[in-house]
Amino acid sequence: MTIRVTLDRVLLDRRMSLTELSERVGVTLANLSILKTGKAKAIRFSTLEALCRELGCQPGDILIFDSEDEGSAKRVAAE
Amino acid sequence: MTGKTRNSMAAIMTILVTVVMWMTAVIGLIVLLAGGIELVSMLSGSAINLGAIKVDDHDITLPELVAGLAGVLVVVAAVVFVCLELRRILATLAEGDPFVPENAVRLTRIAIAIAITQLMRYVIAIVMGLAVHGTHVELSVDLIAWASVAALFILSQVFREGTRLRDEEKMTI
Repeated sequence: MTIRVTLDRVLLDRRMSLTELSERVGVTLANLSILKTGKAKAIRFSTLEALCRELGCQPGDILIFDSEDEGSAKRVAAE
Repeated sequence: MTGKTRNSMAAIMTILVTVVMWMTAVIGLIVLLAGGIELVSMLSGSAINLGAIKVDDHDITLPELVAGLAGVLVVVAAVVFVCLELRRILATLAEGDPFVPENAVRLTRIAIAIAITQLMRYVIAIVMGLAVHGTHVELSVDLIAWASVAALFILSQVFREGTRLRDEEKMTI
């Protein structure tokens, strides 16, 4: 995945647990875990909005584009 | 539609499919047994006496009988197979989650089974025509059957895509 989720880093900075965040944004712990571990295929704007609101951050703080990762993904696809 | 209605619908359909499956299997078995006795009688060239049933009057030829038995065997096997696959699909419907990849495969298998019965018709007709001189071979194309095969293949692809979309939706947070 070329888009990486850095939710764990933001949570660490805010000293907030995933359980607390799940209660605040109204997303189940299981779904937040999927998001945090990078297994999610997409994120809704509403979820992103709630996360940014509760964490007091910008979407770019949670999601980053990894161009190196993209290169390796393309290599894998070519193989 | 509520889950309960869907489940009861699936339950009714399952009963219907099971009845059709067993009826086909039993009737098919009886026909195959009767045909088998007739075949043995023909091959041995003597009359077979089974209590009340006496087999000695052959009003069809040996190739016709063999072709008929092969046809019955294929059709019965196909109907039972289709019913078994339908029951599996209905079981997933009863559980409330029919959009699983396996159902796409099952629909494809049903389409292949129907296609095989149609192809067997042609094979039997051609073999009969080649093996028996003077046999009037009639090759007719059952458009309804082939349309069902096409429809099932398309439905199977729709199912496959639907399952993929559902999985994607599941992983959308």
